[in-house]
Amino acid sequence: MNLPTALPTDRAALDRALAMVAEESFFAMIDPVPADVSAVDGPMIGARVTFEGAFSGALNCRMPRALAEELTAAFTGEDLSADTAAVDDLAGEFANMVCGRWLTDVAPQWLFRLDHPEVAHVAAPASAPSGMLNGQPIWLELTVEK
Amino acid sequence: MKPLNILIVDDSATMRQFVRRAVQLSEVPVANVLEAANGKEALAVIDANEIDALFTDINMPVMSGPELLRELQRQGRETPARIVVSTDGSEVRRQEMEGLARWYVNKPVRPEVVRDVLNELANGIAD
Repeated sequence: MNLPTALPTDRAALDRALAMVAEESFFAMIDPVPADVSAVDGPMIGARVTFEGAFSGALNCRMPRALAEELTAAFTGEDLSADTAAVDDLAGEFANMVCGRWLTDVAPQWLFRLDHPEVAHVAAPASAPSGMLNGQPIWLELTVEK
Repeated sequence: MKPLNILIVDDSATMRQFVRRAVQLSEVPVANVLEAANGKEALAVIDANEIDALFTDINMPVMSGPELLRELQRQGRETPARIVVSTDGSEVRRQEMEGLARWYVNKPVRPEVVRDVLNELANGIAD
């Protein structure tokens, strides 16, 4: 089996993975980012998933903590907003699912090992969000290397 | 129908809770639902309990899902029945799991999929 000739960094595949995970697992829709998107008011949470296989890299997913709490409630059917560990865990799983979907899309013929997500409190990036999820911004940053 | 003993193996507590809920919604008779955070913990649970069905993630620290399944195969265990739950929907991953697991389902597993799998398993045990 040949190694990929080019590193798969196309944004469309990542956006597809994000939309699929949001819709299928969290019953949420990804909307385009409006021109007048406001700054995040409140704490942010970031999850980083590293992967290794035919190529290696990392996916960083950042979102307002309030969004992570909403996703946790949508996924578990319970209000776990006060449960910091559950919200952190869900943020990591969200990133894990997006990364897994993306890898399946761009390199279906290869096996990858995904490491346990690292979750931390982060600052809002200066860059534009990747999309709006439940009306709140979400950022995905992908780094890929041989 | 004999109530099933089920083991859920995932490093995410939220995902274990989600599968546990799907099991409860399946309405299949269940005796116990046990949990483990990785393959090594799962082996200890399997050694100490009579497990009918094992739901396992693939990527986990300490011992991965495939490593767990290969260890069970190496030990010559026929039970528990193995269900792999993964975000990796690639054909190559499915092929890797052939012979190691009876079912392969995409993460997050849907309650109706859990119901179908457990019904098939419970009916097989009852036969």
